[in-house]
Amino acid sequence: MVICWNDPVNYMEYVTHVFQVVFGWARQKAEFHMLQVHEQGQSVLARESMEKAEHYVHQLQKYSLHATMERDE
Amino acid sequence: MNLIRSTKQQFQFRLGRREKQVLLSLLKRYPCLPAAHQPLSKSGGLPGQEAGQGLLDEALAEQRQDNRRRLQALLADPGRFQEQETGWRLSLSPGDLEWLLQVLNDIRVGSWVLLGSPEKRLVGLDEKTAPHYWAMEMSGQFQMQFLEAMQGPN
Repeated sequence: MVICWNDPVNYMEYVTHVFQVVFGWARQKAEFHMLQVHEQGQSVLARESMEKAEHYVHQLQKYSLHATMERDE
Repeated sequence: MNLIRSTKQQFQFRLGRREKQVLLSLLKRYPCLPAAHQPLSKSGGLPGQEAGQGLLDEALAEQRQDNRRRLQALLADPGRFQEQETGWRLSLSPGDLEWLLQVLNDIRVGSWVLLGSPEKRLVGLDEKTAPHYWAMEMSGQFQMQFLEAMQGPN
C-alpha cells in the first residue's frame, strides 16, 4: 500500500495538487485523500505491486511529501 | 508577485525588486532537505526493503543534482528575468513552474526540519532559527502564488 502521512508543514492545496499530478486524479478525489491525511493522519493512496508502489513513493517524495509503502494486512 | 499573463506555453509574473531578491535568496538555499531523509517504509518488513531504500535514496540524490543543475541554468538565463520600469518580469513554462514547486517545497520542508520539525507554530525565534523560519514562510508564499496561477481563475 502507498500511504501518505500527515505533517504540519505541507499546505493542503499543495498536497491536493501533488496527488492530482502523481496519480492523475480529478481534483475532487485528490481533495478527498488530502482531507483524509489531514483529519485522520494518513490516507491509503494506492494498493499496487511492489514495483509500482515504489514508483509512487518516489514520485511523492520528490515533492517532499511524507509517503511510504507498507504491507497490506 | 502577480500573474500578468498565462498561456498553454508560458506563465509571466511581475515581481517587485525586493520580491526578486527574496526569490533568488530562497532558491540559493536549495537543497534544504537532508539527504536520505525519508524512509521507504515505516513499519519495515518489506521484501528487499534494504535494496529498495538504497534505490530510493539514489534516485532522490540524482534528482537533487539534476534540480541543482537546472536551477543554476535558470538563474543564469538572461531571458528569465526581464527588467521593467517597476520591477521584473519572470517567464516560466508550465514544466518550469511544476518543477519550481518541488524545489520550493524542498526549501519549505527542509527549513522546517532544520527548525526541529515543530508540530506547532514557533514562538521566540532567535538568530539561529529566524533564517530557517523566514525561508519556510517565504517559500510557502511563492508556492501558493504559483499554485494559484496554475489553477487559473475559479
